[in-house]
Amino acid sequence: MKRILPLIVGGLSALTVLAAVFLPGQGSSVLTVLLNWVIVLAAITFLVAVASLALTHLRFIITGKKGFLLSLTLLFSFAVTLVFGFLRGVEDPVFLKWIGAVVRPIESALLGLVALVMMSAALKIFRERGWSALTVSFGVSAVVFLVLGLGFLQNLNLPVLNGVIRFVEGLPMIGARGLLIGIAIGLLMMAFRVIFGMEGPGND
Amino acid sequence: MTDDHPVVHLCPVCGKENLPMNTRCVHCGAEMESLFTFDGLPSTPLEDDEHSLPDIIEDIRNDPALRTPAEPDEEAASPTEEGLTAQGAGIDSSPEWLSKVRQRARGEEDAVGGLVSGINAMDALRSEEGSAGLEGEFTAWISRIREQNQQENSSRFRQQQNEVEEPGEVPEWLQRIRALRLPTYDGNTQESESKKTYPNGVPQEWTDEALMELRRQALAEEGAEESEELPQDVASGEEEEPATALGSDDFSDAPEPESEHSEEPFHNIPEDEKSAEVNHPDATVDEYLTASAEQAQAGAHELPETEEMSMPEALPEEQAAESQGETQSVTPEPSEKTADAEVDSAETLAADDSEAQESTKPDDAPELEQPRDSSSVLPDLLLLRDQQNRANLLASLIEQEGREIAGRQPSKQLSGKGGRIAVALLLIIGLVVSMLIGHDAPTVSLPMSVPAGALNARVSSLTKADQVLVVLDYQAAASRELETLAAPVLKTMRAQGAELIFLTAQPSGLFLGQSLLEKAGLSADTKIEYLPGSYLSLIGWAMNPAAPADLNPTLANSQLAKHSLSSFGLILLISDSSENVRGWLEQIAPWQASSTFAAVTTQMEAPVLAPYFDSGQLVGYAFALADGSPGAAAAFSFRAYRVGLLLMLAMLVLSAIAKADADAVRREEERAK
Amino acid sequence: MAIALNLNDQLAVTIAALGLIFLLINILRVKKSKREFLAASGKEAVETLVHVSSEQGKRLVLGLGHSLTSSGIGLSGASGLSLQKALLKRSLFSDHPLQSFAGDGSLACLSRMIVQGAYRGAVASELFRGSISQMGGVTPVTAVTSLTNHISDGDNAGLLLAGQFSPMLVLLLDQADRHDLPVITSVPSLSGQAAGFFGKSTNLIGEDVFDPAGKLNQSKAALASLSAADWLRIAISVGLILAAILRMGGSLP
Repeated sequence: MKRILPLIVGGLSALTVLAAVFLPGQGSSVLTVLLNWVIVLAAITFLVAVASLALTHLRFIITGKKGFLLSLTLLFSFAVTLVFGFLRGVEDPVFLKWIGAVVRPIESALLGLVALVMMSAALKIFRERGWSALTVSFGVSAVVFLVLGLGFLQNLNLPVLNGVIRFVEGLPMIGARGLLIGIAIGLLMMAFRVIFGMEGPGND
Repeated sequence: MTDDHPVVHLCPVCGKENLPMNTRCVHCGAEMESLFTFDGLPSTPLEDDEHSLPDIIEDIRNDPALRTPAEPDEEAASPTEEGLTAQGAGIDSSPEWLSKVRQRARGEEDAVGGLVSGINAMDALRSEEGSAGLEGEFTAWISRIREQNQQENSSRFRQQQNEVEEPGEVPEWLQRIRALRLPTYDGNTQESESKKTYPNGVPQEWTDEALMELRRQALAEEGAEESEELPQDVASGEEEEPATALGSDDFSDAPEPESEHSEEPFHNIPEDEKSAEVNHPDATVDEYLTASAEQAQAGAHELPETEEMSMPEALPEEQAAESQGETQSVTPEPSEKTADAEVDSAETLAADDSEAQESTKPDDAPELEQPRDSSSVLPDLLLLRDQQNRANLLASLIEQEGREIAGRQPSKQLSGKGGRIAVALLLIIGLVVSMLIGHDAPTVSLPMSVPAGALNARVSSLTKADQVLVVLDYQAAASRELETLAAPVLKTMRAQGAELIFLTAQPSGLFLGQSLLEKAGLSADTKIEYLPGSYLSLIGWAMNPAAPADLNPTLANSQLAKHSLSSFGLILLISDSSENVRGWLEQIAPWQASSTFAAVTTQMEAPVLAPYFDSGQLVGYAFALADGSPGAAAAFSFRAYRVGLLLMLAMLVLSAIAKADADAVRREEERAK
Repeated sequence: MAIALNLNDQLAVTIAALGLIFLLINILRVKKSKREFLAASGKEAVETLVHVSSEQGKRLVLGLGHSLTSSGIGLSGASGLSLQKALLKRSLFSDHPLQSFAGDGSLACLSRMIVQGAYRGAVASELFRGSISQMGGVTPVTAVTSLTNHISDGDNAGLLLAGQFSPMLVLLLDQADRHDLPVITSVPSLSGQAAGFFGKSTNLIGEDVFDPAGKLNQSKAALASLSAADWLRIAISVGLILAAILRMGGSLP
């Protein structure tokens, strides 16, 4: 019973949501209630996770685990943000400016690092993965789109060439569609497994 | 060629004939212990083997003394029984001191660690379930084995009747071996077997095992000497074909028992052995061997692969006699033996010989192909599929040592830290220099992408009466790129007089939006609304025609208070995640028939949105550098962008060239070798 | 009660119903031993990594991604949980059990539930430690960077990324590359899959992403859903071809 009850509740909730989605007039009120529950639940899980994170790092500091300085930094930043957020409010311009001044350069630098890493990866791609249909097609398409990105060909303003470029630029859509269909099918099956209790934290 | 009952077992009590699969005589009901005959073991009861299997189990049950490690008398009996006895003892018995330690460990929580206590808990749970029906289960298990074996024997008997009519076809035993045998495993077995040999043929320490192997070695040498005297007509079938198969002249010089060892695997399945016997019901050993050799030769001509596996069983007459004598020395009760038993006992010795030969094989001895090693094929035949798969996995893991494993990076780093720094410097210097040279020439212009053109057209069609919801859904990392693309669009909207309302479902949108407003030339007082609850709130808002203030009282003072989602003519998604845009289009858009959706996204995520633009779910989206034109021209250094692309292009081409060069060098080296 | 569904809804309901029927049929017919529904790399990759980690006596690190309820919406964010369950079963009593990091509150709680359920299932609840399932950062970038910190640990035998990741995961892959750490990526988003094609990492794509455990997950449900997905793909392909023909013939608008 301990295992079946959550299963029944979960399955019924999922079926209710599905029914409400396809019955807009009748089901929207039910769906609204359910969504509100989910929002509250998600907020609580977030709080629980944050509390757990803080406690875990606190434990690291107390036990002097390797890398506890990072834990110290995390807890300090968390505490400062929390206190200022409570005192000034999350929409206070000064508070937001300070947060932005810290976060934006760090994340921008990380994105710049991505460019660097990608360049390094480009240098190693064939050596590490060897010659295969996948690597060759990847290499060719990368070269083609890099050349197109330079814009030299577009600047020629040749109608025929522009047509070819438009066609080539549309090619990724074909692969994207196929992959999206595959992902959607996988998601559908996963959803069924969850709804019918075949996928869950405890079951086998 | 055969009759209906080609091989029969004689009842030890009434002497009448019985089918081989019978466990009891059909005439007198006496018990016949032919069922548990294993290869490499004498098929007839040994002298010391007075106890049948059930008796032994009964002894284990009743006699507490048997719960201690097996006694010498028991060890002298059949190895099968010994193993069973040991298993039985292992289940129920343990030294007294160990029991006490276990009891104490269970009793004292502090005495055990966390892991041990967990294991104890598992043991306790399992023992509760398992101990109650242990004996019953064991008996039932034996019964099941008997029944299964009888069924298998019956079915095999029927198959053999069909197969013997077509002698040219691949024997069933060979098919099974082929199905079971995998080259990788064999190779590893060979490797492991080779480790058994002692250096210079002499072990470092004379243990019982070493003495036993020495004895086996002596027996093998005797066997080799005798087998050299074999008449050609008997051995030709077994000797010539494998030699051809191996393609090695050394093979002919190899000791004769080696060729016999290769035959051992086919004795390891009782059914196969019986099936071979089926073909020769009343033949003497000589006739049987000759016929087997001919049959094997015929099979080998048709199927060369059989050479790999070695020939079917054939035993030289002299060695058979020798082995019989040897078996008699172990089991001094020869009068009861039938011809089958003689063959079995001979095979037993041959198996022993093969083991001895392997263990005493000198290092400089010619290496034979693995199938000739009986012990290497033996596990193949006896292992289940799953077991074999696991063995293969283990073998592959051993093989992979020092190699690349799944996803593992190559240990050889051609461009380590130095290479990485060089690439970084190249990129940074290239970008900085290209920016320092000066602004791009005004002639540089790129045509706008088709989706961006559609977005521009939609934005241009906005009027003062239109309300536009601008959703900020991106992280700080992508803010520079997105702001550069979105700012011109927002400016155009503002110029058209449309009412803009900014919304974010992420806290980061609050401080990122300030920068965007600044770039778009919008008032700093423009409020960015934060909707708690992320996309779940958005879905709730989308499906409910009421204004969000009715759903969420905290939004009563916000700009959104009087708007339902459907009141917005255009919803512009500024997002660095194609997944989030998909979420809007797939889960929110269906509820909003009157709204249109557009997006501004990064170049990385743009290809995913192409199908949605193609289907009309997106009226347009901006993603490329040129899509931000003309406003983007001032913000971007197009030259730096091109330099970056060119460097990336150069790296790719360089990578291809380097790989091609490395391949050419490798081929050259291989050719040189 | 009359239900008026538009064409899109009708198609969606039809596909979902077909998927359900296929799943039920396959649950009845699929045998546990059959694994032909998954690409070879997917079948072997995770299992091999598990064995290697066991052999080395080291731990595997699993990144569960950043998204379940906090940013985007979609079950795809939870695709790593099944992998976590399968791996935990095999590493529960080892010196270094699977260490997982989630970048979302709900995901972190679900992950913690799986850890707890695994210990309870093994009748060893007293060994449960919450620290083997932690929350990393709460945004796409911080989820990646928090994982990056853990890669350099010498006790790691491999890195698995299963769940939603931004393309910034190349930073993770690069870090793993530097530490010679094998990586398997199983990211449902297209941009994440593209980024996963980096270095020597094993990259699962398409619907393989939803069964990353490969051989480790021999449950009938997993096998049946893989088979049903194949059937559904065929059905959709046939439908698309038919629609194209009908449209060319003028029967469809």
